[in-house]
Amino acid sequence: MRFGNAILAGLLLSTFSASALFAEGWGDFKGKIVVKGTVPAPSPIDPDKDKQFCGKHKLVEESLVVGKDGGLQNCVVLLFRSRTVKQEPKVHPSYAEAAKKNPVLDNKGCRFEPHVMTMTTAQKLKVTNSDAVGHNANVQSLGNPNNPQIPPGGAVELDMKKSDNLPAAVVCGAHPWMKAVVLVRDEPYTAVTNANGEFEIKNLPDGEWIFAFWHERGGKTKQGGYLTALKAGDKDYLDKAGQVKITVKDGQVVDAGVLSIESKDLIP
Amino acid sequence: MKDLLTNSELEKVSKVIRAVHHIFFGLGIAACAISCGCTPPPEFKPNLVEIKKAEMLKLEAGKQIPAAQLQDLQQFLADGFGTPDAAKFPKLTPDEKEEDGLVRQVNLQASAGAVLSNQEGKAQGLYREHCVHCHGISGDGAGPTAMFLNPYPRDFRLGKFKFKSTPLFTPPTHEDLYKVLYNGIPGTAMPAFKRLPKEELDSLVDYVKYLTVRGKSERDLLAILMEEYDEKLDLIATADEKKAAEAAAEKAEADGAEAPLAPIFTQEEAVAEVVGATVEKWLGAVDSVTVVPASPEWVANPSHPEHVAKVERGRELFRTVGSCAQCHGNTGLGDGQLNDFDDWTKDWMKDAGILPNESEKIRQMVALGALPPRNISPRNLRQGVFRGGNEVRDIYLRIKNGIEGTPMPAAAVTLSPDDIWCLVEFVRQMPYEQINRPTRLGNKNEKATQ
Repeated sequence: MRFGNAILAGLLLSTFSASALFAEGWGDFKGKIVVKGTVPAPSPIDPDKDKQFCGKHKLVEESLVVGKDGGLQNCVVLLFRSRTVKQEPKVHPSYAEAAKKNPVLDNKGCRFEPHVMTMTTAQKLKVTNSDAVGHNANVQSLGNPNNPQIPPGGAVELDMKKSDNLPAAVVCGAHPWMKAVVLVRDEPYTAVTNANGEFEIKNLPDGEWIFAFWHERGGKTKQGGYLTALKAGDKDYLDKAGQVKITVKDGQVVDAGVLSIESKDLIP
Repeated sequence: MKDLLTNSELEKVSKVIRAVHHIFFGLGIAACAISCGCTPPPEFKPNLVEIKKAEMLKLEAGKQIPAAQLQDLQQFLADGFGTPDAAKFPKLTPDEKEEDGLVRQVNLQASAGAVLSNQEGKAQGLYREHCVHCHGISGDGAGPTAMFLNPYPRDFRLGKFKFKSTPLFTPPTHEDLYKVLYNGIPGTAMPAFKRLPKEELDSLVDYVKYLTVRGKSERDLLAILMEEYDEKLDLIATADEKKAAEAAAEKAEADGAEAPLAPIFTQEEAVAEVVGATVEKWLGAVDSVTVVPASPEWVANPSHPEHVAKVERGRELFRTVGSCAQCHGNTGLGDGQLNDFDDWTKDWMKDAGILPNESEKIRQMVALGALPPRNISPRNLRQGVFRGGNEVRDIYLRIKNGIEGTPMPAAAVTLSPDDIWCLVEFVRQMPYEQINRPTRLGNKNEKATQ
């Protein structure tokens, strides 16, 4: 925890020092992910707890949300990180303002909103309960585990001071179908694809960066994992481990273009 | 009648039978003595369930982790933690002093090994005498009696413990574990060991910590191995081997050739990083103890003028802000929700992507040592049995901190200490309400008939 804070402080200090600012270059990384092939409609959820309240809302299974033109929503674009691959980029000053706001994870209509989100260790996770029934937020982050009860209309702010390598699940014990995904990182260079499958990460420091794409239907089981079968046109976009190394140059945009994945390559 | 032996004949026959028994018994003892022990010494069992889970999560279907890598892991554990007969605890740094460490060697020695006593008042093999039949030789909670117990004995290897004074996701303190041994866990098969002398209880607590750290380190190392998995990867190697491999990798990168894989850890690095991470958390637990505020006068004092109002407030909180009725049921019978599992089960089911209805996969895991999954139910609060202890302080902690390993969350931050004491008093008097007319609490948003 202290180490992470020191890193962040160091990064922010270095970005604010005049010489560093003018000597650095910054570029963007963007793309769009689509699913090819037939995608089953999301299966409905029959809430068996607090039926009176939760049954009022039409709940569906949200691990695979695909837009009209096949856009894959809720895919987390992140810098690959493991024990040996660290990747600690300098943070662009434009992120300083956002770091002061605390993202909100709301319990609403017996589901979490948003379903997938990312945040930084400088922020606190504000979990709110807009429902008339109680919920709890069992945050299964490896570095920031927590499980507070949140009464109807209540809220709680959680410290998320440790950077996680992978996105973590947030589940409600009282309503087991409820699930959200949260990625906590030191750096703000993460994105979640929108309803059209688009993502854009701005102001990466120039240099080489290894990115990966995490999705609830990636990996080998329903726990979620990295997508490995993304294609740019006919060619594989990712290597065997599901990673891509991009080179960011000052003032330029690395445009991955339209990346496609076959629906059969997603866990059913 | 003629077929039956007479008394004197019977005596003769029984004498012969006894003599034959004595001869064979004696021969058997002699044979054992000559072969230096009939049964081989017990060994720690590798965590087969966790290995299978890792294979399911990371490898192609049907592929297995090579025996060499698993052997590496077991060798590391043996070098660091010894065997069930000869327990030792690895030093995190070469100059670490025992008094700064997590366990005392003298405690481990008293708990490890076969049950024997060669000095009056001093016993050895305490773990095998008191614990192994339920908790298993590796502390996996799957000893010979485990299948027949409800709830199952604790699997120490996840490092999660239910009844403690520290918040969720923080290890218990030495005193927390001591208290569980001393009082037992009412409502379960865990007996109270208060008749044992303090030294023996301390020894057993240290041995539990030892099994916990050993088991957790095994899991953590396996996770690190699988993180960037390659079947040619060496988990643990000597310092020289690692240096040579790293130099070869650098040279290969400079030449543009494919770099050979370097081992992940040396023995010392694995101890410092992996074992060290768990030990640090355990050593720090005592600094995270939740302070239970002094209980107000009306707590445990039914004749206090405020008592009735406070219990009623507790009742109100139970069904509204506390959200307790949601799981514990409108009448506290624990019938609010019935199909969740505890963390020790979810660890190999949900986390391995196994659904409750996939009986073939479950059978595979049970064959490897997992216990058949059982749902966990919220506590029936009308029975007056509190597993974590029935002192007001105990119930306060359960509500305030939640119960690790179960769906019971920590109390809402908006509940003040006074609110929690109200809940404590309400819960304590629930068993004394008339059961044939259980109080209709009624969740505000549900019809009374539900």
